[in-house]
Amino acid sequence: MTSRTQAWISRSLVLALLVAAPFLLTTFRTRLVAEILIFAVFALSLNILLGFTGMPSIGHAAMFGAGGYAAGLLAVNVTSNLLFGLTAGIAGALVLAVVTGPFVIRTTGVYFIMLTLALSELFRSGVERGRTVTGGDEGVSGIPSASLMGDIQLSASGTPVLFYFYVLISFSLAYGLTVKLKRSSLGHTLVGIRENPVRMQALGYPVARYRLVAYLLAAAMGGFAGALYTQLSRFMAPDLVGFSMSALVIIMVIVGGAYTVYGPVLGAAAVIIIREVVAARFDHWEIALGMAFILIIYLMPKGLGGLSESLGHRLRHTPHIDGQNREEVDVDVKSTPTT
Amino acid sequence: MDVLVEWLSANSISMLNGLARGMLLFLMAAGLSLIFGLGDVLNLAHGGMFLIGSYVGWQFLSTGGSFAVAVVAATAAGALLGVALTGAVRPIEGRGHLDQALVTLGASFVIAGTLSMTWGDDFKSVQPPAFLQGSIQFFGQSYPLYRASVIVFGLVIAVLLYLLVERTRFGAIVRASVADRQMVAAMGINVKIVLLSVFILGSMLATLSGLLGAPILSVRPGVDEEVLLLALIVVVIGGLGSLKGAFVGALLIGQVQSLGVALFPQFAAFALFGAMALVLLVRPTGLFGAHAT
Repeated sequence: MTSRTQAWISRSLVLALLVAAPFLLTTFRTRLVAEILIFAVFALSLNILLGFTGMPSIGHAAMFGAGGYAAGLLAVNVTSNLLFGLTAGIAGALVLAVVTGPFVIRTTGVYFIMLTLALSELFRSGVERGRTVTGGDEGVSGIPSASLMGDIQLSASGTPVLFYFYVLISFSLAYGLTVKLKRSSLGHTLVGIRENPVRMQALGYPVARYRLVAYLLAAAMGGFAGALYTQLSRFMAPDLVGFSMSALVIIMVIVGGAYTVYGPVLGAAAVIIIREVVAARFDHWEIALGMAFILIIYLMPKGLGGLSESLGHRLRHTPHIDGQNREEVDVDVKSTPTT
Repeated sequence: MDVLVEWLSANSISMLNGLARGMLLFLMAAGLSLIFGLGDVLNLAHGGMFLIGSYVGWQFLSTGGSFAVAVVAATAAGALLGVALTGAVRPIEGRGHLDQALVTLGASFVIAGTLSMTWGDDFKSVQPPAFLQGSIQFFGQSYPLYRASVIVFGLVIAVLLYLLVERTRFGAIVRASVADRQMVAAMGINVKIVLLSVFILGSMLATLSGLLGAPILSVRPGVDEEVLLLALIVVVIGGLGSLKGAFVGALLIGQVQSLGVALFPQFAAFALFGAMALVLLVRPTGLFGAHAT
């Protein structure tokens, strides 16, 4: 079996399970799966920056928040149409990214880490202070039950199964786009910039412009996830856009494995499930999360995705593959015609 | 000229408050900067260390303990944390900035959770020690003695740190290690011990800052994130690894935070962003930072 057919089979299996989920699980668990899918979209968006382009943003929650607030405020004040909400979410995050992007892409390495963190905290404090618009500490509440085109009601509480499929379609869209991006020449350019920005610059690629493109793409998808989250929970608050949210999504990406497309999805599932299990028994689940996170960085530098991949390689007796060059190997596998 | 004098006297309290905040920020940013400069670790648990200092202060001062004991306890806690931090990043030495920052991020979660488990989520107020209560006269206006002492103390620490780094043998070794660690090791100096002492020093500055800040800021969960944010902005502005940068950046942000809030309450957050954006436009590695590495 080639790795492509293998990937195809596992992808169809997961999709089949996801389609069947609302019919097999309780309403509560279905909602949890929807939440996982939304966070998976959020993690996928961060991975465009962190995994593909090597821009380790520690403030990605700001994009999630910008999208969430835009969608929530639109629903409260103008229309509860879901699709308009999603559009507003993407637009909101893009506005924030256009304002901050030119500054952010000027920095690299540890300055990039610090700047993204500082910007997202500023966004949070701005949201907290802008009481008249955003509701301050209390956040946006009373978001009406959403509608989809005219009379079709669609909400997490009223029509859970329908809403679940809406989330699943949105997730599949984001996942498909990420796969496409990774295989596109843009994706390869971004990976090139991650591996060696100086060489890419010397080859004539406008590195700064590509970084900005990655930043905007990640923002748009992050805003999309934020809008979905607001539509699920019908609530948005400053706590959801701060440091701990950024940390949570980084953990998802790192736990899952940053260099793969499916890694962040695995990570989102793992983190949300752990949170659900631990938080039910222990008030201070962040202690467990922090410890787990430290251990994972020590023991699994490439995350769960890296683990399953290296196991897969070992089982298939492929020639020794050095972890450092895995990306190039992936590219080779994809470009050779499969028979 | 008269307008200026009038303006100064009207805003002198805000400016002094900004100076006091700036000193606290300097202690934080200096530790952050030292640890990054030598250890190459961006310590995202630095805010947690600050909050530990605050809680230790509350614990001792609210039960009638003396201020001196609180200072000793807070700095001892800082020293222990410095050792722990060194141990925490040892296994992933050389794995890049992100992994190391993420380990300290994990540590900050553990610290925040442990603190809220131990001391709860309530707001705790800390009184200044008895001998620093009351106020002094400053250009015809009264100003709390405690805040004035924090300003003086901060300046003293700044001078001591400067002398330590620029004028002592230890400082020379630290500076040499920043420049070329292998060479220093080749000269027979145990760089690991230098590294450990810098981590300890930086962490002690953070807990000390938390203790001193406890009577000025409030002590509650979430302060760690706010203080870390401000310290990061200071370091972005001043340049990582530079004590001078940490000092100038901290004074600047202290004023933006205090004078800015007094003059334009609605735009305080944007003033922070504006100050940072402005500096980054001119110098992406901060005012006193080394050029892009």
